[in-house]
Amino acid sequence: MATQAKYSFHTEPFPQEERPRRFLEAFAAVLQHSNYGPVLDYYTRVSAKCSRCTATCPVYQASGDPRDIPCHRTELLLAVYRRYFTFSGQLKARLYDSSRLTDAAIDEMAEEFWRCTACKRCKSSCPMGLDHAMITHLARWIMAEIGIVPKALLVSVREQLEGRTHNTSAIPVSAMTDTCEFLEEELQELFPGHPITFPIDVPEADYVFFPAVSDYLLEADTLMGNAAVLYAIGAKWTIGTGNFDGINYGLFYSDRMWERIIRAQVAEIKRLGGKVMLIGECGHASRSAKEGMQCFIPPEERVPVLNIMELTHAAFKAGTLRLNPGVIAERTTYHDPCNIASNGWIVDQPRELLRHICADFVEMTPRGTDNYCCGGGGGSVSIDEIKRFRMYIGGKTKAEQVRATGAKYVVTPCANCKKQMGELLDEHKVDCTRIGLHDLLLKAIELGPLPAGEGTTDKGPAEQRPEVEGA
Amino acid sequence: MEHWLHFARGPMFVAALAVLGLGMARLVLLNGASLAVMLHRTRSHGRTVAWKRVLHNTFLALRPFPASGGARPWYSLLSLVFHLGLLLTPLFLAAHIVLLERGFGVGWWALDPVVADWLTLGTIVSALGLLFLRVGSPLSRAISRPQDYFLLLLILTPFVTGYLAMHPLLNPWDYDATMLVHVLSGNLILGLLPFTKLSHVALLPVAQVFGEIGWHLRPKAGEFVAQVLGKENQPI
Ligand code: SF4
Repeated sequence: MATQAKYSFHTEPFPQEERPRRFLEAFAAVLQHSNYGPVLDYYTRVSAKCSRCTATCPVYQASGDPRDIPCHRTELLLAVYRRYFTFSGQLKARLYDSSRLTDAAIDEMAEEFWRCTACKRCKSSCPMGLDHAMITHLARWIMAEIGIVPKALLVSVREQLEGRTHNTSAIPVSAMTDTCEFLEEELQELFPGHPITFPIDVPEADYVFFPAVSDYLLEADTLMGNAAVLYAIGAKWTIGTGNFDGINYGLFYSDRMWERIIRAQVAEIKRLGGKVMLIGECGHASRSAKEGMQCFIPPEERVPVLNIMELTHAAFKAGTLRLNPGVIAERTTYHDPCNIASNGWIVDQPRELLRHICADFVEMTPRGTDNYCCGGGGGSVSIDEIKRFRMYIGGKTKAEQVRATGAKYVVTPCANCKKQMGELLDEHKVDCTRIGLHDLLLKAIELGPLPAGEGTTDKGPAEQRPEVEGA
Repeated sequence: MEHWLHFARGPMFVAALAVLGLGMARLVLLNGASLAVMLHRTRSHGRTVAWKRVLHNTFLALRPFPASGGARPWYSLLSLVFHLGLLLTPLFLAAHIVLLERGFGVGWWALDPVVADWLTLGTIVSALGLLFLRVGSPLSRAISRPQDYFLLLLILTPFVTGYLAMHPLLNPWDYDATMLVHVLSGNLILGLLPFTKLSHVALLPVAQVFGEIGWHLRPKAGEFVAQVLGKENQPI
């Protein structure tokens, strides 16, 4: 009988009996109902063990530990697949190979698949095209089904789906609306006379806004920047009281939760009759919404998903958003959140805005689709107990990159990256502040003459709505 | 010996080709069918595949020298030479083509013998280099399986014996024996192609298609999984 497994992350108590059998049951169930089977089949055939992925994985580079080699980690799951789910593996097992899935092998997977930050940096270094981040994603789901999942993530998802507040930070609606009122007052002081509001539960709005809910607690300036931009471009937008959290930790550990969360978010958009799902400054929230919308929502219910940086950028290009050039005097650099950059989705848009408003904008190398993860990717940032790993392995390279730029500000448009980056800069004593994109835009925005009437929300925003691809 | 050589070059070679052909056909069919099923699922869910991105990623992955972080430059260089030699030499060696013409009545353009000689040497040296990198680097050793060494040595065999057969002065062994090892190892490679990682010869072009469609997750998969595991009504 196995003893309670101790991992470097905390879990809730989970059954210890017959873990291998339950792991295989969960694996089989997942294979039966998903597309992962053929992919694993392909990967088990061609995997070449060339170790070229070592040159791109920031975790391996910082740790130098062979178990952090992407291909090594991936093989842990492929070996189980080969042994139990392929014909030749089963045949071999009957004839001579007595290797079975053990508790120790499951413990090894539990540790290692939570050491990958799912940043996808290794994506094009595998000559055989193995997507190690996908294997990490899948392995975590299987493990979650037998109870092996970081408690921090589990508790958040439980509150979001089954709790009273329906959001990961357990913020009551009244607290959220209070925050919004307070921010409206602040905005009044910044832009006297301009009725910049946080519209709540407005039906038929063009944009239903889903920031990472933690922004309401931690990122006042980001939210004020968001509201100011939306006001400036005359967008018809709203925040729904039924569901106002863009966070979706399903992306990090379970397709089952991913689907439930995106469904709940879409249900809120439908309740309000909204047209576009507008995500705040958050990488994983954007990717989980954009991909989740396509994966899990039937075509007739889908709505386009936009990251607010796309909207802001499009309005700036169209001339509906005016920004004062060069108002940020301090040297500024930009960190690419993996979930929106590694696939090339949002790379140039924020940079174009920053080059305009910053007098001294500098780049890190490498960047964009080849960027280095902040070290808090794949949900690891929420796991406080692995802070050492995040600081000295996952995020080591990033800290050095930021230091090398000599920047005063590192723009970090993602709730997860923001938390990690803040801790990272502190821990490594880098004299730089992490900040949101809209925090800076707030200082550069040019609102022009005061409106004649009050409400600006009737200005037709339709013509300003940027083209949405894949919608 | 003569007799054995004849057998290895004749019926055994044909058998190896048959295994290769059938094995590859099976692989192509299996993977083709999986892709077709996945594509169908994706389409019926009203989704399209980003073919442009697939193509782009395919080219990115096939670059011998990836841009990011100088991914093991020596490895990449050796691997490039190795693959060139591996593809060109057996297919375009004059001696092979003569045999094919005699046996099957088909033939094609042949490499200049001097070039073929150098290519063979290049393949041998690069294979040894790859072996050296695999054995010499702790990280490569850590992830290598027996087949990773075995296949490399196996591939080396026909190249070494072929080179020796063409240069009798360097060859310490009997010509026929050398030739026999050459043909046998060559046949073995052909026969193993569909059943080992060497199958990437045929499968590589679709690697990125799997990578792309693999992320087209299926709606309700989670619900079904919960049902199978008896968790439908369990709280999180
Ligand atoms: S996804 Fe990132 S952390 Fe994970 S193996 Fe690849 S490069 Fe390393």
